[in-house]
Amino acid sequence: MTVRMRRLAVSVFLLAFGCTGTFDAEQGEGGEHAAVRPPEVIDPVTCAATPPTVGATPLRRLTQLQYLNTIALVLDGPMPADAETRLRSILDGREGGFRSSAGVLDEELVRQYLALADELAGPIAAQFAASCDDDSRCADALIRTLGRQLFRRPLAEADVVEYRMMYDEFAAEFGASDARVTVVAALLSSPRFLFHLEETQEASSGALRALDAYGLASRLSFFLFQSAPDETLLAAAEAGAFDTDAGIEAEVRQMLADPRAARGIEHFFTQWLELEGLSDVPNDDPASSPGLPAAMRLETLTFIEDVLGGSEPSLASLLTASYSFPNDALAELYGVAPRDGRVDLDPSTRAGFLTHPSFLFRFGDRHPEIFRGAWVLSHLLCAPPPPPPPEVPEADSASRLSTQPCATCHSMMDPLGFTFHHYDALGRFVEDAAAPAAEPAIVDPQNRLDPSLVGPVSGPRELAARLATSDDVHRCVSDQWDRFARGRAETEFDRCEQLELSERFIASGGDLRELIVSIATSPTFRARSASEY
Amino acid sequence: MNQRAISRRQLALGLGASAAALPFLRSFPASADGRPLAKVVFFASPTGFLVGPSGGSGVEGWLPSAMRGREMDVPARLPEVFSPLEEHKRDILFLGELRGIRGVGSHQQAVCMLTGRKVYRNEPERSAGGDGDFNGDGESIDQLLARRLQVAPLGLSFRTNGFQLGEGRMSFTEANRPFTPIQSIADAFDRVSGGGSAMPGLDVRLARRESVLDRVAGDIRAIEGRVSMADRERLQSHLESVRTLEQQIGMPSAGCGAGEPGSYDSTSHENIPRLIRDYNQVMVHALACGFTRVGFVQLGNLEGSLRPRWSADYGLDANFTDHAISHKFAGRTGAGSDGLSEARARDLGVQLQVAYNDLFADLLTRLRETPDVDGSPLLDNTVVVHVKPQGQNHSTSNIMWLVAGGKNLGIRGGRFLRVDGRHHNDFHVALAQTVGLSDVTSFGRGDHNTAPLELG
Repeated sequence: MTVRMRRLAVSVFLLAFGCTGTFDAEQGEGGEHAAVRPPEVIDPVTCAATPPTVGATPLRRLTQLQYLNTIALVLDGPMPADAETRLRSILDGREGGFRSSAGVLDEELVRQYLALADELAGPIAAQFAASCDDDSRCADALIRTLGRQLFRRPLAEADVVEYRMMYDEFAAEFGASDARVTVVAALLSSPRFLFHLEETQEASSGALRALDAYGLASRLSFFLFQSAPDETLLAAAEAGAFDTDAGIEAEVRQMLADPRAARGIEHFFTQWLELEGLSDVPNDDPASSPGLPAAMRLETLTFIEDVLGGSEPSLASLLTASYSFPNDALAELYGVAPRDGRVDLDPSTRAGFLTHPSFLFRFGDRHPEIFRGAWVLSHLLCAPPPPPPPEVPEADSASRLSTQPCATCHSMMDPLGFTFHHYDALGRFVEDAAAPAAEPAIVDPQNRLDPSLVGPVSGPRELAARLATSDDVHRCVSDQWDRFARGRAETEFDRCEQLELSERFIASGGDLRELIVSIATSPTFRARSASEY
Repeated sequence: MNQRAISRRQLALGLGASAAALPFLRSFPASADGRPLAKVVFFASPTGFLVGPSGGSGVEGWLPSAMRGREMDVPARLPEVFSPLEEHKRDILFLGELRGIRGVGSHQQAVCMLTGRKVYRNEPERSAGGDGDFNGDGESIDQLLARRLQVAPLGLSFRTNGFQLGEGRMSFTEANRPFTPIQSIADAFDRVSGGGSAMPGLDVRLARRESVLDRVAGDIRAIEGRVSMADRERLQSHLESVRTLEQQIGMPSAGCGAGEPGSYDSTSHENIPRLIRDYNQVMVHALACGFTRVGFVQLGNLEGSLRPRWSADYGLDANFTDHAISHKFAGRTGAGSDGLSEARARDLGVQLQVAYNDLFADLLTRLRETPDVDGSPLLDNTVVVHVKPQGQNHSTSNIMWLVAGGKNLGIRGGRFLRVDGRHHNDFHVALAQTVGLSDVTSFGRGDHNTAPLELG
């Protein structure tokens, strides 16, 4: 009888004898362990008094970026164009606000992955075989080396035997070269490659069940590098680097110092700031050019990289720093002389990424205040406005703010968005911009925000300063980084951990690098929920 | 050697472990008395027909001017948006005044129109500020028909990615489980060629696919014991897909040639008309050769991300999305419609609907010209439904669907029928009953069912 069936049987037994209430003690194979519930109240004291819990991890497959980067470990050069087109046609899902693919694969998607495996297997096998001299030894090396790399752990001997049998049968009929391609196609088609299996150790500790060393190395690598762990990391896992708290922290800091860490950071901000959508923004401003969206994106990413690599890698710096990296096309928008590298901007008109053209341009030129305001509400205050009604009538600012039902939501979004009313749709500062329909302000009719945030705002500089010093804003950003790292939204079982992370983030002065380290070294990042087993 | 556990879905499809039961072979020949079997194809184009019943602003409405009551025979000349359908009009039932799913925005109707339900909501996901993908909340009608008729449905689409994740989906095997259509012409031809054509190296590829699938099944068995319970279920479901795919290997050609596909970029907007005509050809081939009885041809994300850069085909050369055009047609701004005047939007909107109906007419022509097993036109035994998620002016009122063919199934074409706000659900029930599923008396959400529409 499986554990699950036994549990069902016991609960049926209890029900039959008139037990009421929730069934919250479980009989495991080797004895009892009580299922741990998170506390009702989420605050530092109650959380500290409760044993740690973590939410269940839905099975996710590699995202497009993770697939691409992992293939780059076994294939030099760019991915063949047909294969990349096919990969892009297999859409990523979205969990917790970021790319993460937890949905079930239907037959057509499985078929697409198989076709992709077929397309990649040839070049990968050929590259590997170039360093072989003996077919038989080559087959073994191929299975072990690529298997280890693609599955993120060494193959068990029994697996090696099975793959070798497949190779031998195929080689007998079609020759060694085709047989090698078949092995690679099989590896790339396996769920062990396609899915984040995140295997654990055998035993649980309370409500947590620790990932094994390879599982943790994988999770860290996919988080920080958006790629499978390379051989160095796998070897480190084998050598016990991930067996202690100190070891894990040392590895994490080393990974963060690696140039590849830029991938994870860039992936977060590209999604958070919606930089991928810039080229779809409709724009017929004469000052614009086809290359402008890409230039805007590059500026913001360069700025972020610079801040995070500098002496004050904080959220406050990202919000308030008055320098940037405008290239030629953007220099015109800023009204500065074109120059390479870092440019100091006028601090009275430019403060952080909120005054970058990428942010200001992102939402088009029809009532940008609505969308700029909504973005700040959702992404910096974690107080998203409700979705719009099914049929949205055309209305100007004044009527949006004065008539119902529009005013309920627009009174939150528009005044906040009007903070930027001096910035046109390309992000240029316009001194004599028309007066907005409402006073720029953070407005909170439903009392969702910290009162110290609420009130009129004179412009982006004041807005940025106010947000930069807010604990709630820091908690909001920390929570989003946590969702990004885990590839899912939080459940009640994650809230204590999120609270701890956000308190640490605040205590560190909003240090984003330390936030990444905290997330990666947290006790729950290296574990799954025991209740899943 | 391999233990093949038969899944519930395989049983439902009537497939056992026997190699003879291959989903896309001619495994369901004409019935014992030689009569052809009922078939259904959905043709899905984005947004709505835009023109309302009475038109306005220089645009002709769809309601024939002489129409008084609920029903009227097709007039001597169809309204302009339907002009490509003149030669088929006696076989088309113009079903107007359908109403979309209540409580769901116009941008989510596409996900709902074939399920007859609201959108599936993943509550923890939404409360954490993420959208999740949005998915249908139940089995869509095409999947129900395929399941009950024991065939594997064939879905062909221009790429479905669009403005928001989920908008591109209209077919679901169950709640939160989208059915992904084929999205490239090469894949579409592969699918119905069944590996029978004489391509060099084909035997290696087929043998390789067989080996790979066998190994994948082996891998799943090897790791099952180590993973969480939920993961094990997911892997089981993956294994079911693998098994189904295994059964499709090495099918002999059924002797009906689908022809050779051209080699062109299936993801480019410029190629959409050519792609859809090729998809129509593949679909008709699949029906004629008994590969399936249920399918759909979809023009990508039905909220309208396609751009009709179709100067060669239709003299249309707009870089605006269908969505932007439909917004401006309705007199609304936004959605990328800047630079598009209302007058031009009306012209473009009508031209675009004409183009869609021309592609629909192409499908009908092919069905009419291809014989079924008894020599009668395929069209007479196939219900072909042109579906759109929206109606007049990008809204969800006054939705019009075109129900073509199926003469031998009792569909009575050649008329306009106003259904006065009935929901799609009533149509879906009628459709199911038309193809012989008389036990289907309700579909989708209960409160959207009144009575089956009278299609005959």
